Amino acid sequence: MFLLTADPIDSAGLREAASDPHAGAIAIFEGTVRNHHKGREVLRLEYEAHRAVAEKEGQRIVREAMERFGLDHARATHRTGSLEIGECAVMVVVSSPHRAEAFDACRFIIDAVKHRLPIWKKEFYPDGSSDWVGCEGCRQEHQH
Amino acid sequence: MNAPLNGLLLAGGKSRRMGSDKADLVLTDGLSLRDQGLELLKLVTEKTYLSTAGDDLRTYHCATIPDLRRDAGPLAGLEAAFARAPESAWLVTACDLPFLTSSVLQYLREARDPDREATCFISRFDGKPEPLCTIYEPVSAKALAHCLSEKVYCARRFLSSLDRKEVDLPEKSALDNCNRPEDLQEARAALKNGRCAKTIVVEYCGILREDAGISEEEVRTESATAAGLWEELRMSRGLSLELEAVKIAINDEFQPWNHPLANQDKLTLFPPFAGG
Repeated sequence: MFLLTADPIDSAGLREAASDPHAGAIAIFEGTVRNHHKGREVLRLEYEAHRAVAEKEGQRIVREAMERFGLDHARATHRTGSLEIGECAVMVVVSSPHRAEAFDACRFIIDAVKHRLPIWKKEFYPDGSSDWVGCEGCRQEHQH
Repeated sequence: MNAPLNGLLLAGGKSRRMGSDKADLVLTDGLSLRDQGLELLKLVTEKTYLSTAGDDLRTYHCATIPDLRRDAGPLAGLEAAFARAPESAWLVTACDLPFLTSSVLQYLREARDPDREATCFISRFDGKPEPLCTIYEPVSAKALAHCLSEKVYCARRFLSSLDRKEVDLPEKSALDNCNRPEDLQEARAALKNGRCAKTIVVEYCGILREDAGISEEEVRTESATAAGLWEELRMSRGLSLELEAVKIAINDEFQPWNHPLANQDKLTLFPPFAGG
């Protein structure tokens, strides 16, 4: 299951939901907001998502992982809105009978979440400026 | 007495984004874009030449004018043309204009003001002069030499520096060009099915929303595919990304750029994803 939420991610709850007597491994990935990016100090982040498309594609990613790695359980949750340093921006929890599949599936899901979901983040810097990650320098005029 | 009018078809570009030589591409009826461009020019000019890169060793069944310098783009073609026939005016067009017609060229020829340095159309996208369907009078050769000596290779900037007569396009899409496979597919679709007006809801996300200054709008368009509408919006809304960096959804499903647009479709424009 994939979820987009404007509320803080309930990591304990997500971990708890993955408990399964059939599972011998639970792998968890938490992506947190760090205070620097490409050598620049970052004060906070804002996440924007296209909800309809992100939720549909997010479900597809989790379903693909379930089938591909034979998981017992898989959940991914991504935050939207304004996040402070240290806050959890994305969490992936999977469980499977053995650890190899759990690790691989966790990696697969977070990579797919980054590459396939219409989610964007804007960084805010101490000098008052901000920038969209992945679009740095896009606004420079064409050089003629 | 007006200077005689020759035609110069630019076809020496690198076609980087297309991935193959644009001039060789065939749109719909068997003629390559190169041959189609030459045929059109022949109808309205005295002598017609193909402008080629200086190191192009291919054989063409038409008169050619090789560039005299490298990496100076369209202006090198015009420079070589003036060197060949300094007393002539040059009607310069490009081979990547699939919608150009003889009546548009005829219209330009009739609008020609030989007492100015150039006669040109203005872009339907941004209202600026279009350098690649323009009559350059012999007197502009001097400004061109100056421009190249300053290492200015932007044709639009050169044309903007000239004393020119600007005319509106008699056919709105006549100068829509194609640089990418997606543009070519747009052109084929438009030529095959005709252009019909439709209303599309456009949704902007992230940096594109900030560029456009709105998150959603209804637009009227005659574009056949999403790529065609993107080109219109990119210019009119000042969007800061290139097509290659943008993904789209139509009615909330990811689609390729050549996806046809239907009336009342919703087109969502996604900048590069950056989740996680």
